Amino acid sequence: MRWIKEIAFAFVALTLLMTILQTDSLFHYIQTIFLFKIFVLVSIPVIVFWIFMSIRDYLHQRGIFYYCAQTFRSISIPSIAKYVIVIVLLGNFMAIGFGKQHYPFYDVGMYRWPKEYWNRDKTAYEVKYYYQQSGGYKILELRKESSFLLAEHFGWGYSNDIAYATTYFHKGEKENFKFLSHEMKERGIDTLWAGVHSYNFETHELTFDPDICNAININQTSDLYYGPIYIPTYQLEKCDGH
Amino acid sequence: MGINIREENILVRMEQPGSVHQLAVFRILLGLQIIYSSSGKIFQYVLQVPDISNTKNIFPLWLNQWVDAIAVPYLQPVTQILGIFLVLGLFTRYILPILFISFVLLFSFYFSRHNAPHPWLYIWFPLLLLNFTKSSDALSLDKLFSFIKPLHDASSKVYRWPIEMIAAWLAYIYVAAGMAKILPIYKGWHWLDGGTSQDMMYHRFLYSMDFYLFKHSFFDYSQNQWIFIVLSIASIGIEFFCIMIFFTRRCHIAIFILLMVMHFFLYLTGVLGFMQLALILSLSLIHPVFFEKLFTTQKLKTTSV
Repeated sequence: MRWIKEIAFAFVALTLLMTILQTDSLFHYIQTIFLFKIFVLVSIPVIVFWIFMSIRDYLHQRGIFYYCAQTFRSISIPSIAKYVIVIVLLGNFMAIGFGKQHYPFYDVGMYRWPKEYWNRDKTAYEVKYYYQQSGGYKILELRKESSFLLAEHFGWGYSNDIAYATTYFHKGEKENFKFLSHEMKERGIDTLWAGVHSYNFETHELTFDPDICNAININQTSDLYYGPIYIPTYQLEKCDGH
Repeated sequence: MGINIREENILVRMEQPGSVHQLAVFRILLGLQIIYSSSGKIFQYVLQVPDISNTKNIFPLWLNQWVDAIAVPYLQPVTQILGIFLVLGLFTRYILPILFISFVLLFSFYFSRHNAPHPWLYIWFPLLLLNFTKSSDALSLDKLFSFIKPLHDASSKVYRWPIEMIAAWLAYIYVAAGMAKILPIYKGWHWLDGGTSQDMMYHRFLYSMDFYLFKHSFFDYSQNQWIFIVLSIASIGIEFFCIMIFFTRRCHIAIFILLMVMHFFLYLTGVLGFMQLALILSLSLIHPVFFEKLFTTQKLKTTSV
């Protein structure tokens, strides 16, 4: 029971401490937001009290920190490994505490900053590359290509990370298009165009519009994930000529 | 039945019997993952596209510049080849330090240009740990060719502590991910309003496995806030539940199932990178006795044939 109390107290104190450490403009907020000033004024004594109690318990050879330190010392692990584990533990603790990353120490905070909920348009758009095939068209489904079972073009080496990078992270870059275009040319596909894939979440209607001019329009005007995609110059010129 | 933390915690478990085969299987799976991860065209790709990441690492500038120059021509093939050696368990003791350095530097280059925590986050510490273990005492060419002398006791505690440390690493990844979502606490509630889940599912749908397989969303992602709230709370609940790994083994099966359900759902909805890695680390949640029984049975079958 004592352990549970200690862990709970440590959790509260560390939550307060990390909140202060992770607030970038701390002094600005203290000066401008009254509630935040109260929060800091309440938090600091709690954190100091927790540190005091933890040190006192350790010196009296009791408590969870003393137990962990002593047990860890007594475990039959190679000494160098113990030092390495402690260094990694401290590095990661700093990363988590400050909410910052210094590779390879990581706070695992890729979803740290929340997006706001709002009722969105029923129809979601995605501008995708496609190519002509047998009088019709075929969409280049970039994320599908990272699956062993579903891939149609790229295969080994085209893993989830590059699929993510080509689909989202670098989608607006000319170099991304050049990379994909080159890969597809190696597979006998000369020209990629941009078209509009859309899905209505209410009616479940799925459409793909290969109209190159509509793709340019949607690319500029719609709320697209990671922004607009790169549209090749020949598509822009062809559309201008219409 | 109450949990006796003093008797069941991870530090106590490190001194309990382990399994030479569990550690060896982990070594093989980690090696396969390293080969797969280091064979990606992402390394060549990030050299071509502009560097838009703003990441930091612990290395000095001169080292980063050097790594930039050698990553693709040298570090990538070296990591792949040493990964094969790790899988085979050949010269394991000698290749592990070089593989670790090579891997960490290669993925430093990756992270500096591709701001994503997979796959290196799951791999680097377990790979570092293997340097201090007898991971080639079974299922290895080192053993087959008598390059090493394995311990007589296949259930020695020497094989247990690395597995428990890997379980601790798994717990760290998920608990830290949960903490990052709710800290600083004044924006924690904001995370729980479901906006992030909605943003992800709404925008990624047309590039998700769900779409590729079923062409149909699970529900209307443009509305139904309560479902996104439930999903957000569930994800944080599962992530924080992983802290139980430190205190007891009794929740391991539940943790494994919940993590797999979470990752499979994420996989379907467009977050593809983590399930395979979580599966590899989850090997540490299996009790060593399972592996000893499995391999003893195999051995008996082979002997009787």
